[in-house]
Amino acid sequence: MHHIISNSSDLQRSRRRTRNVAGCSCAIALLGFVQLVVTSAAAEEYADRIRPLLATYCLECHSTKVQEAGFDIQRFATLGEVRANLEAWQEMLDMLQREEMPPEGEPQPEPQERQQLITWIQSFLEHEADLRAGDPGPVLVRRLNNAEYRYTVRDLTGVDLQPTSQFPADGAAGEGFLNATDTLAISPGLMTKYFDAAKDITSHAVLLPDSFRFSDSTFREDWVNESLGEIQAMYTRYTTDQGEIPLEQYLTATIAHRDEISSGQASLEQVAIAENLSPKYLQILWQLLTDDQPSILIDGIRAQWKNCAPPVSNSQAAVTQPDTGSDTFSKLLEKISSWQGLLWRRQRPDGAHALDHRFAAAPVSVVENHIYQLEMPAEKTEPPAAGKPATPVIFYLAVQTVLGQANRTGIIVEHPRFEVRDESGNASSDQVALTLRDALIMAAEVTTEETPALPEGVKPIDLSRFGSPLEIGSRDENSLRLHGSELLAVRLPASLVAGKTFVVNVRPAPDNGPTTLVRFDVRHSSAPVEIERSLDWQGREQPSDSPLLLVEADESLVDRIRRSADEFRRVFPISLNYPGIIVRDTVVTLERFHRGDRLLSELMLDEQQRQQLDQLWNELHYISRDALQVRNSLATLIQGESIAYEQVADEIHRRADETEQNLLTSESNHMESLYDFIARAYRRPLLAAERQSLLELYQSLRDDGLPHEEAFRAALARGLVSPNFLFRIEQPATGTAAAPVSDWELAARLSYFLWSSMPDEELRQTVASGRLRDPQVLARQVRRMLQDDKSRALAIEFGTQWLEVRSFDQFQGKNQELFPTFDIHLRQAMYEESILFFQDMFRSDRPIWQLIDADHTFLNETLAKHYDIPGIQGDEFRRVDGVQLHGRGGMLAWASVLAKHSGASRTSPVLRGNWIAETVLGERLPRPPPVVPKLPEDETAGTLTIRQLVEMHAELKQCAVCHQRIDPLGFALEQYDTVGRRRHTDLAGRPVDANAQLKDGTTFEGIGGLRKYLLTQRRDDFVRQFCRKLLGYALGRRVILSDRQQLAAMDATLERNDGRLSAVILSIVGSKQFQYIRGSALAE
Amino acid sequence: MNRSFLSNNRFLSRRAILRGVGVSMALPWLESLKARGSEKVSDGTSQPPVRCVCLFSGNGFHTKEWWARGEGAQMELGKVLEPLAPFREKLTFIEGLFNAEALHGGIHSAQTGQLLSGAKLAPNGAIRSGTSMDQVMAQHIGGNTKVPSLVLGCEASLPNVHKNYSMVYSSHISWSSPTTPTTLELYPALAFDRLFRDEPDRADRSVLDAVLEEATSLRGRISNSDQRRVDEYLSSVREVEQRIERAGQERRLQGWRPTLEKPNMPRPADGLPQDIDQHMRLMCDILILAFQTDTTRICTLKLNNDWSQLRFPHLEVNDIHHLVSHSDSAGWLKVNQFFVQQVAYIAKRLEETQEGERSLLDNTMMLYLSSMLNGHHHVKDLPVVLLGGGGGQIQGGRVLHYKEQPNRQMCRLYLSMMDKMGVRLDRFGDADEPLAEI
Repeated sequence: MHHIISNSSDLQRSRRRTRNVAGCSCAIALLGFVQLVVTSAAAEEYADRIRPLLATYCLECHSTKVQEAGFDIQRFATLGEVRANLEAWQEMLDMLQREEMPPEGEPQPEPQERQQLITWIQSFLEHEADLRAGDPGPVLVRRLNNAEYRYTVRDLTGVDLQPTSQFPADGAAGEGFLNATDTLAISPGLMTKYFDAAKDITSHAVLLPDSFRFSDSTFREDWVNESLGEIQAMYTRYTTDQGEIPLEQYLTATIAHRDEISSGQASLEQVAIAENLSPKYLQILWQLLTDDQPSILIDGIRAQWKNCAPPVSNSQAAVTQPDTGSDTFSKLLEKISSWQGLLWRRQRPDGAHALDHRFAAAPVSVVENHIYQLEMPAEKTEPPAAGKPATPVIFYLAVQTVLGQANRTGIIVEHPRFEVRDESGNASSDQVALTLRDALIMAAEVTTEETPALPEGVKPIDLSRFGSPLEIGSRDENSLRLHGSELLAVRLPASLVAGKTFVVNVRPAPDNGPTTLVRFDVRHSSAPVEIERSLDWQGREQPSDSPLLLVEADESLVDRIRRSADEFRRVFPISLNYPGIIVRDTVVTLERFHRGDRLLSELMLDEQQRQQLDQLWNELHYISRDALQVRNSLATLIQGESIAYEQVADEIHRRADETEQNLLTSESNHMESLYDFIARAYRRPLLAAERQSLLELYQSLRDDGLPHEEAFRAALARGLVSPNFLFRIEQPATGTAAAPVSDWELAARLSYFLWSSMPDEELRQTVASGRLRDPQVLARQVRRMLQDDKSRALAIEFGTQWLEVRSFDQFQGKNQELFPTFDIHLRQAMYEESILFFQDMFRSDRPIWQLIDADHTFLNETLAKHYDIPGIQGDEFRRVDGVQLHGRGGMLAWASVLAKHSGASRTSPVLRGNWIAETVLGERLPRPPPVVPKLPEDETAGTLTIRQLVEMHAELKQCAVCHQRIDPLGFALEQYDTVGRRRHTDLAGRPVDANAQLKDGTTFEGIGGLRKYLLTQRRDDFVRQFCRKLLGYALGRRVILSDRQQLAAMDATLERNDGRLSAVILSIVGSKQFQYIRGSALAE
Repeated sequence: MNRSFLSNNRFLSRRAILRGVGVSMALPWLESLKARGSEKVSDGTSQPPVRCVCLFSGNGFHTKEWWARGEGAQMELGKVLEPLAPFREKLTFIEGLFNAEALHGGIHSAQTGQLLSGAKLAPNGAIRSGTSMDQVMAQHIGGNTKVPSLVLGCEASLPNVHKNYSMVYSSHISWSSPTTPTTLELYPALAFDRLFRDEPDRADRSVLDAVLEEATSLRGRISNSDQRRVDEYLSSVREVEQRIERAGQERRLQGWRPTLEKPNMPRPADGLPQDIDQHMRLMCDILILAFQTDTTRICTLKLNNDWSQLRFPHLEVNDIHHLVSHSDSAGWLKVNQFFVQQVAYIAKRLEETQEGERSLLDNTMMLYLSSMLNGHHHVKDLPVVLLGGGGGQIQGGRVLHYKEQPNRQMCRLYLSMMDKMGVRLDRFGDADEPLAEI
């Protein structure tokens, strides 16, 4: 049972004064509750057989008088005194086992005498350990270490503010971890940092109408942008970033799952969730597509949908998809999209910037006739000189039949003319309108500049078109009839029509075929290519009064078409929200944010999401205080022209008043949220007095004249510098007996063990429900927490700290000239491999052996290149199997480990071997002799390899003791270079030799041999060391004698559970050490 | 600030001066001492205070080049100490002192944590040392200045347990209590703030009062041993509170005025400087400024850790400090000289600062030492250099050998130094008398 004493201190110290080691006094104190069982037989054996041996071999130096190394053995006169200082006996056992005492040159005990002493001390210590088994041990109240503080603040605020970035580094204590009680003292210097950090954290608090949240930023404008971002995220949850419905996805889902849905195998809701679609809209769409009520516009869509290919059921394809590449499917999409283009137009909200490419949707109505208008450009200041050709103006009249047959369609363009408009847009009464016909006649007299030829299909308007039969029996020489699809160009001298407005009435020709819809448009266009598309408004703003649809005049048809159009519009809006939100990004504006998301709410969002969206908008208004800003804008704009704004002024004032009222009433909400926040920070419910004290602080600051926000932030800061937050405070039972910690305290122990952070909501609820102590519930929580991303902290704080590669990304000890690739990216990748590997050990509940012999690892391109493993691209890490082929797998082959335990310019078998012996196997090596021979700084110097130099070194007698133990382990890793790459030769080009021969004659070669050796001959040492370290980490203290049974239990449970890590974690969590606390009267 | 306490200490400090080199003191000086004891007088003749700075670098020095011979202007110096040649007449080279406790326990980790206290270090991953002499002084006389003591470092604490001893020991020479290494400031900007930032928020006092109350009420609910930690918390909060109280107050009613009213350098940039030479230079500048403005009189600057991981690419040395220390290479000599250059830089700047008739260097005691003589963990003969006059109390240009003598405790030197600062203790660490020669 070497391990129970392996942490004792070194006897070679010559102590002149009273020992003052924490662990010693603990042993004395423990007598308070451990029943004294001193059998007379044991006492006699000590007196008769043991003490005389000690007297013979030890007391010359370790008498009460001499006390060499401060060590007095004479004082142990009776077994009772022996029991009072177990730690000394642990040290004595260690010295005897390692044959370090008695020292060379002094009389040595016979081998069987030494063995007798060892056996007696061992069984005595085991007996004593068992009597004390489960002692929670000395754990002083400790502050959160830097990692715990950072993660706790992250989980409290939801933002990783990295408050500890300029904190002093934590020291390690206990079993070598940064969470050990001894290292977590507080000082004025640290307190200053905590106070500054608390104030900084509170400056990130964003007050909301009924609570508060935290932001990365401390600036209100950033908070507003975050709020906008949240709203936009909600918008794009189901729509494109332009607010459009991703119809292809929805239609694909309805086709792919058509049979399941129809047969009732899957509900629409299930399909929607599986495909990450809005259940509500999928339902609406499905309803439309499967309804059998005839509908002029929808019938065709339905038919096409039904014809879309059923899912491709290819046995090789993992996922069945409809044949979306087929013509049928793309035609279906095309059809819907073209109807959307006809029945909707894109419109900017009032006041939006003309270059804004984000639009709101406005329906296009179906009417029987309409008056179109187009303003002509104003007259140029300088009229063309005499004899020079006049500047022309060109505009177009376009007709497109969108439903029905174009050759059977016609429209009447009635009385096209140019009117003069007054300021308010009414036709001037004293100027007679110029008819288009007259204008064309007059234009024939004037020479105008050459213009580019008209594109194909565009005809110039010509006088012969006027007066053609309009209706049976009537003619009008100023009107004309257009056919179902035509594009006519009108070309006139600019001076003729400048500043006037082109006006025309358009209606369907009476002899149209049935069910006809036509779109007419009149507009300018600057380039031929634009003309071709003059009816295609895709992605551009459409003038608000432009395209309308005319319908053939059969009344019942009109009605059916209208209804059908309404139905189409209801299901297929061109966009669901105005994605821009910010209308005009200027200081002086009467509308800062435009909310246009009614369609989104109606079609996509369920009740809860609607409320959430409303709340987000509330928050946006609350945070931005836009209503107050708008009120100020109004005051600015109103100067001198109050009339223009009187319609909006009332509403603006009402909203501003409402905001002010909200700000006031929200104050008490903030305090309520503050109590909740502080309770989470304290990791338990608040006491009434603590609430009261927070309120009193707040109130007194308000009384001193501080505004609400400032006083609130101060109260928040107070919670964040409270000892109840900074320390993990646990209340012991009175007396000396250990007692269970409270459920809240247990939950905190659990979450700081597995996450280095506070309990989350689920764990808190488990505590609140009183079920945490149910072993099954506790085990379920442990498994859940190990699965969580936050277990990354366990990988870093336990795994990489144990293996001495924590913060490897900051390790710079390499010769940059020899190893230019060893840059920050590579170091980060090396570190990430270690973290991910360890985290995966816990998350995937792997057997402990895989730490040594896994055949997988985690790589990104950078690291794969370093390892010479092909086929890994990109920065993101992924699990890669079969890596032993490439010399990887398991921690022995991590570049982080190999590089950390090397020099700057050469490998170091000594450092690597020492790491395996001390860190991985838990051996204790004595301090090196005072004169250590030097090795060259790099591999190329001299004629001998590093290995040969190390071997020479180990031949020196004073060095051999240790080096025979550690060097061979390091030699086995000589096939890896200074930065952890595989190699066959060293930097001087000499072949490397990775053969190892141990003192006991065992030989092996390379990492493969080393793995096998560790997992066979050294398996127990490795497991014991792992368990010891994990227990020490979990408890935040060093492992003590009374933990013997717990270590044995961990060992046994690993064996029973194929080495699965969850088994040891559960064993620790279920242990008395983990769940109990020493009584308050027990001295440390 | 308790004024009678201040004058009391000043008196102590004068008395100490008298005992040391008093023979050469003229009588009128005693008169003015009396005058300084009263509040009213501000006659400009009062003497500047004595300052103390402890400078540390880890892993020792070159085995052949750390030496000094001869006296005064004729003193010869080994190559490591060459940068200090201009100050040889103000330099005392001390050889042969050591801390007995450093002989036990692991290498490195058990050889530094007690350097300034001589205390025993707890093994087995526990953390317990002793209050270091700089903090003993800060606790006695630190209240005389806005900041009791300034503790700086240029290398972060080492986060592991090595050979059964926490490396907290090899990362801290300054300890404010046996269980608490003094929090040292690594960031130049924050060190600067600590000295000169004087803008408490309106709510600061109330917030701190409230948590003090909370912590006090906590004491009754926790175990006896935990109360120690909570007490530590309480005193830490109180000290923050005191600093806020003192912020911006002009508390110096008496005659002497420091050479600078305000810092004459800008606040350094946030974050850590990229290169170690820039980092050290900034820390030295801040330390000098702290003395020039009399913001504190006690500074400790840990240039690196023992078992240091620092690298020196600007010296074209590739290995980390600790690995280089295991050789007597040219690189190691360069690294040693680089550290001594920092000491020389401080000395030079202090020498250039005139305080009345003397330079600031004359009013300062600069202690430069390492945890071991050389890279072989040799601790029985610590490398120690004392620079400056300590307010006319220390005679420079000397080499003191203790190697062959009994009673070679480092703590004797500390008793001497504390005495010069006006802190008289009968016993410190393992020593009960000061070094007669200092």
